[in-house]
Parts: sequence; C-alpha cells; structure tokens
Amino acid sequence: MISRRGVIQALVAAAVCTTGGMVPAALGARPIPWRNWSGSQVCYPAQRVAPASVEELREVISGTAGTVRPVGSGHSFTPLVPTDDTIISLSRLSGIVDVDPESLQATLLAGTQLGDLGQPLETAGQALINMPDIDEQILAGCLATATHGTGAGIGCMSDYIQALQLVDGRGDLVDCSRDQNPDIFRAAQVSLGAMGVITQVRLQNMAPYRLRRETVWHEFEDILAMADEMADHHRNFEFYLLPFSGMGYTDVHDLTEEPFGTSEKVDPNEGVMDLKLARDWLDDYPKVRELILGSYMRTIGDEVTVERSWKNYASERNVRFNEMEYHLPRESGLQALREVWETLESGHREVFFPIEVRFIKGDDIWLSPFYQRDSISIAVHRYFEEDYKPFFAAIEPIFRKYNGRPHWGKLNTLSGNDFSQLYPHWEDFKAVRNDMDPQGKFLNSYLSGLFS
Amino acid sequence: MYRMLTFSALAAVMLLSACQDKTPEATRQVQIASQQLVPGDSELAGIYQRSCRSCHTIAATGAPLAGDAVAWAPRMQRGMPAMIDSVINGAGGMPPLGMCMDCSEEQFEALIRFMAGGS
Repeated sequence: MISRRGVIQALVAAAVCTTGGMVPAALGARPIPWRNWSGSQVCYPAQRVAPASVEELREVISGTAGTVRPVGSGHSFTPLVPTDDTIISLSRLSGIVDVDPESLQATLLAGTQLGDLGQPLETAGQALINMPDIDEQILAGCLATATHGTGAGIGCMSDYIQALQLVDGRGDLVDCSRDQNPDIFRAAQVSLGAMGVITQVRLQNMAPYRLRRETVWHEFEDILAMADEMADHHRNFEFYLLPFSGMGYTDVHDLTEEPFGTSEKVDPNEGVMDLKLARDWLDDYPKVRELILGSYMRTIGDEVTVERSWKNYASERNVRFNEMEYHLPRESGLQALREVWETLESGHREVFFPIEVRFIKGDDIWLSPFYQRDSISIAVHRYFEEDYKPFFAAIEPIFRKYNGRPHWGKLNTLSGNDFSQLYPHWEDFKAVRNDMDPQGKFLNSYLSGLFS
Repeated sequence: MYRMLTFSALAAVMLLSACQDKTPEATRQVQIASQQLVPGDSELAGIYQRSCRSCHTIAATGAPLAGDAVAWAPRMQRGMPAMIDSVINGAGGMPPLGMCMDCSEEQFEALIRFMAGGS
C-alpha cells in the first residue's frame, strides 16, 4: 500500500517541469570547533571541558582566565555560547539527586537531558508538568532561556523552579530560592547562563500522567477562528500553519485514562522535506503548489496518540533549521500572526517550513519573556542551508510592533537597550549579575553587548 | 493544465505504490540488538551512554543504529576523516560534536568504529 508520503512526492513529481540539485554540506577544518545544532553559531574554544563533579566545576571556573561559557545541547540559535576561551559541558552532571513524594518536587542535576528524565522520574512517582516539543536539550539550557512547551494555563519550565544551585564567577557555590537569596533566585530562574553555571535545580513536578494527543487538519481561516477557544479548553494546545497551502493543523494534549495506543502518523521530518520538494520544484507555479499541497492535506486523517506524558510531548527533529520566535501579548498575538502570514505569502515564496503557534501562561521571573503577561508564541523557520536573514528581517518588525519579546535562544536583532525597554527588571538583573560575576567571566561578546 | 497535472499525478502515484513497502519487524530487531551494545572501554562506554545511545539505538531518529553493519557500510566507505568531519560539523539530524562537547578526535573515531560494528 502506498504511504501518504508517497502520495505527496508523486503529486509533486508529476507536476514538476524542472528539477534542481541538492547542495552538499560543507566540511569544517581543524582545530575542533563548537557549533550549535543548526550550524549558524561557531567558535574555536581553546578548552572544552566536562567536569565530573561540582568540585571540578568550581576549580575550572576559579582557575580559568578568560571567558567561560556553559554549553548544553546547542539548540540555541542566538550567540549565547561562542567564545575562543573555555566552554564547559555539564554532560557528566546528570541525573536525579533526590525526590520528595509529598511535595512532588525533585532535585535534578543541571546537565540532565530532558529526554533522559521521563522514565526515572516516573519510577520515582513524578513527571514534569510540561515539556517542549523536543527533548534533546539539557535542563540548564532550557531554564537559562525560558524554554517552554504550550498550554495557556502552564508556565515556561523556569516557572516551576523551587530552588537552584550555581557556581558563581569566583568559583563559589550559591544556593537560592524564594526564601534564600531571593533576588539571586529571581535573576537565576532565567539567566542566559550569564550569572554562573547552574549545577542543580529543584523542580515542582506532578504525579505521572498520560496524555491523549490529537492532531487535526483544518483550513487556515478556521484555525484562526477557533484558536482562542481551543487554547482555553485544552491542557496543551498549539497549531501549525503551512505556507502556500491554505491549511494547517491543530495539536492538542489532554489528560486521559484511555489505554495506550496510536493511529497512523505522518512523519514530521519527511513531511517538511516534502514541503521543501514542493517549494523547489513548483517555485514558479505558486497556484499549483497551493493546489497540490492543499488537496493533499485535506486527505490526511486525524491522528490520535495516547501515551505517557513524557513520550507524548516531543518529536524527533531531524531536519535542521534556523528559527526566530517571539512571544506576544495574548490579546494581540493572532492579529500579529495574520500579518506574518500575509507578509510571508506576499513576498517569500522561498519559505516552506510551517509557522508554529503556542500559548504560555505569564509569570513573575525577571528575564522571562512571559513576565506578567499571558503570551502567544509565533515561530518562523528557514532550512539550515538557506539564508534566513531576508525573511526574518521582514517578519521581525511585525513582532516588535506588537511589543513582542524574543525567545532568548532564537534569532533576533535586539540590543541591550531594546531589552531594557521590554523588561522592567533589566537593571535589577544586571546588578545581581555583576555581584555574581564581578570579572565578567561569563560574558562572551554577545552577552557583554547586552549586559555591560 | 490542472486537469493534466492531476491525471499525471495519479499515474505517478500508481507507479510509485509498489516501492513503498518497508519491513518494520526487521528494523525492530536491529533496534533491539543495538540496545544491547556497549563499548568495552569504560571511558568510551560513559561517553557512548551520555552522547550517542539516545539516537543510535532508536530507529525513529534516522541515525544508523549501533551494530547495524549494513547501514554503516556505505558511510564508512567515505573514509574515517570524512566520518569524523561529519561528527564534528553535524550531519542530518546529528548535532555538531555528536553531543560530546569535550571529545577528542581519537574518541570520535573509536565510537564510530564501535557503532559501525568494528569493535
């Protein structure tokens, strides 16, 4: 039986008039560089270290001259890591320290990958309250950048930190919580890795749960009309709009006791490459592109998966991209989205990645993009081998017009002065950061530009 | 024109339909086998567990599975320097440095040989 992917490939193949070639990835040179996941950020650090203990980490920080930057899984697109001096991986500081069954809180080492947390936490009688749509990041990186999942009633991951421990610029160990060093705590909940290297965090979790995930395809206009209501009625709600198709799909998660099971699924990685194929081959025929993509998408049935929560949030992302994501006030987010859509379809036929739209609850964290406002997040993407700048430059003014705050790990052109207008506690953060790192050891050139 | 394209598309769909079958059971067996493998050297085993195993033992990631000599053979034909370049710079869904931020080239080579079924 033919697969769905076979259908779309065949439809495009049949419609194409010309063909094009793939561009091979370029190979790098020695010495060994560090690159982020998309390859858009690169540096050649003199030292790459992975301490096996907190004591080793303290010795590295206190004994190293020059800039020290912590690295995680490299999933940030902004230049948070690049330095020619020292990068520190927390990969050896991984796992669960302890769990409290009464409060449903757990202390976790900061180098733990999200994808490695699900099973051990479940065994300990807990589960993360929410997760992003990929789980390859380490905990410290997620918290440093206010990484989030979706859910109008659920905060970003940093919102669930109860306490944390970090090594400051002197190499000293600092513990903080709402009651202990409260200013350090509010700054460290989202810190861009600029206050110190986080060693462990205590997270508020919940009892293990299963989720029913349902994906349904709709007309673009129908999604916009029902988005707000769906966000309020489902635990986790997000949607994707597919350029030049008139279509999109909603993706909801709700708590359930239904038995585990799954329907036939469209592989998102194969799907996005099919969208690229349609773009490559039908660039001169936008009407044909829309006809084929829209017709195909109307044939896709609903997908339902009932699984443990930690197995149902994340998807594999094997197609690399660069991304810009802004968090906008919820009341104006959908209007901004409509303008993004019009700008994309009126002048950027090169774009084929879906637009991703998510909902996040407001919080009170100094550098959280969700500070004191419920938000809609809009993310746009470009294939990693293609120039993202023209498209992102066209979209960013729309985000800024609606007072958007960029995701700390995703591409933007804002300066320290711009951020100071967006964050009421910007100067408070800078003061606490300077106390924690008086020599500016954790500031690379990008962060120095923001905070100095 | 659209009518012609639609007709051509349907014809192409029918032609392609014979080529879509896969063997999920065979893939599952290779995946199960890959999950039993760990390097003998303890240092290398630690790196493998932290950095490689989460992708190279799960078929859905698209990564060649550890011990799957058939999947690794065409890659290995490119030569070890090219393989190490792929690890350092990233390839497909694999992130640069293959999630091992402190690995040396020698360790990358040993891990590649292990996963390719060499040792």
